[in-house]
Amino acid sequence: MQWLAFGLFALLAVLGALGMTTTMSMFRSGIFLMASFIGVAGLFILLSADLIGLLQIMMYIGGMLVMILFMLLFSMDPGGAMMAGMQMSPVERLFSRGLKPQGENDGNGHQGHDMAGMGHGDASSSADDGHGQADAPSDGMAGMDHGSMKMDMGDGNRAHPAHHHAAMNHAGADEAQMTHGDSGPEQSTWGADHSRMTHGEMDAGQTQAHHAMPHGEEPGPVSPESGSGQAQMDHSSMDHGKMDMGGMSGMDHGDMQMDGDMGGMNGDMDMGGMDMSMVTPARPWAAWLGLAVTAVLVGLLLWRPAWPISNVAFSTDSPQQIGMLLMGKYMIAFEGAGLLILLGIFGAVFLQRPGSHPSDPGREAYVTADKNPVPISKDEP
Amino acid sequence: MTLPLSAYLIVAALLFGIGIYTVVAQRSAVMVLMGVELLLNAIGLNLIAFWRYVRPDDYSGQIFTILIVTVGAIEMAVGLAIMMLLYRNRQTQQVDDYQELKG
Repeated sequence: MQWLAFGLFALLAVLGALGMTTTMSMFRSGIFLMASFIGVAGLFILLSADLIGLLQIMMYIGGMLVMILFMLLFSMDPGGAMMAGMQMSPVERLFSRGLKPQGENDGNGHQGHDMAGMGHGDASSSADDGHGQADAPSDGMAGMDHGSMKMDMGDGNRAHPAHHHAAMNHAGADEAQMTHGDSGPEQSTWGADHSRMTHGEMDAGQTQAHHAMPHGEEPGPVSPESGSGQAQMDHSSMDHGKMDMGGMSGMDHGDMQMDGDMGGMNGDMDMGGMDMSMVTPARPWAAWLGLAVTAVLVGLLLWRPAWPISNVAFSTDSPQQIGMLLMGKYMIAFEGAGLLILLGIFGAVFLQRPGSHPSDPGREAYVTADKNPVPISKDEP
Repeated sequence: MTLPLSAYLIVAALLFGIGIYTVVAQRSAVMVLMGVELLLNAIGLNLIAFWRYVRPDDYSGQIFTILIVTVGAIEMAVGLAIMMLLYRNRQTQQVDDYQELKG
């Protein structure tokens, strides 16, 4: 029974956290965070810390999450509608299920279907992918693709991990294809081939490893897109960043494979690189960092498993004991926390005071409209 | 008490890892704040688990968790206020656009 409750709450907490960080919709992210908080509160109550559990629910869910969801009103794309037609990793696709894309996106859906049908991603399928992507700018997201493509050229020249800008790089390749007309498709295909030649063995190995994953369609879009990104890279700068890029994408592959082993913590990201994407280009390093921290913590746990577990019978009136401690032993800390809350409230109000935002356009208009007030006393009878 | 202490600690480690990933990888400032909340939750879970299993007769662990929750609330309030101010100045919410803030 205890195991059942623990498993339920732990699953709720961890899955909520995963959904929080992987979904494309920020609103859903807040809801997932609420689920995670409820799971952690359940764990608190299971650990017979009832007061902390109730405090968790009241403060986090009642207070902070309402604030977060209010702040989401200011974000650019809180519902993830721009993101919904992009390609996502399986986890992201799972947690972002049912998001409606913005406008008509038949081309995107078709492209996703093509990519899902792709197997290991050979050269012909990459050319097919290129055509699907070339269809994509004809729908409502055309302006967005072009706008972000230009930005990503700069990124590619700075030898950022272009794999994360893979979708956008791909759009860039299609742009080249559209402008050059004749040499575009073979450029794209050549890029894919070259990618295979550069890190052929590693890529093949990783693709084999991926194919064991339940989401077999996921490795399909990866290597052609990295190849296309590479083609874009070569076409624009013509330098020797190829080995570097190959290493980058190889690392990404390894990252994704390890994530698959960890239960799909985060798959590879193909939709990223749009300017309004929710993740930074430092995503693989971040994933590695998170995994490394988790591994280190669990490793420390395994390394020193023998904590002195005490079975002292403790009184069940923990709120009263906590109150006694707060008023006695920890009074300074308690007062300090109260003072900190007061300072925080006043700091927030001070930051938000009117008159401190000179570039607020609405306020500018208001001030300029009020600068020379019309004397209305004459007009009135 | 059939549950081992390690079960709670593993859950807390998972939450901590996901929180670190969120803080580093997310681009929106609100998501970064959510990741910080997740980190604080993981720390609180660790504290409560150690209190329950190692020193259940001393309630200091719960008090530290209360303080952590308080600090989290303050951090969220001030962080959201700063973020709203930045949004009013920049009309954006992405932390990558605040790069001239670094000295």
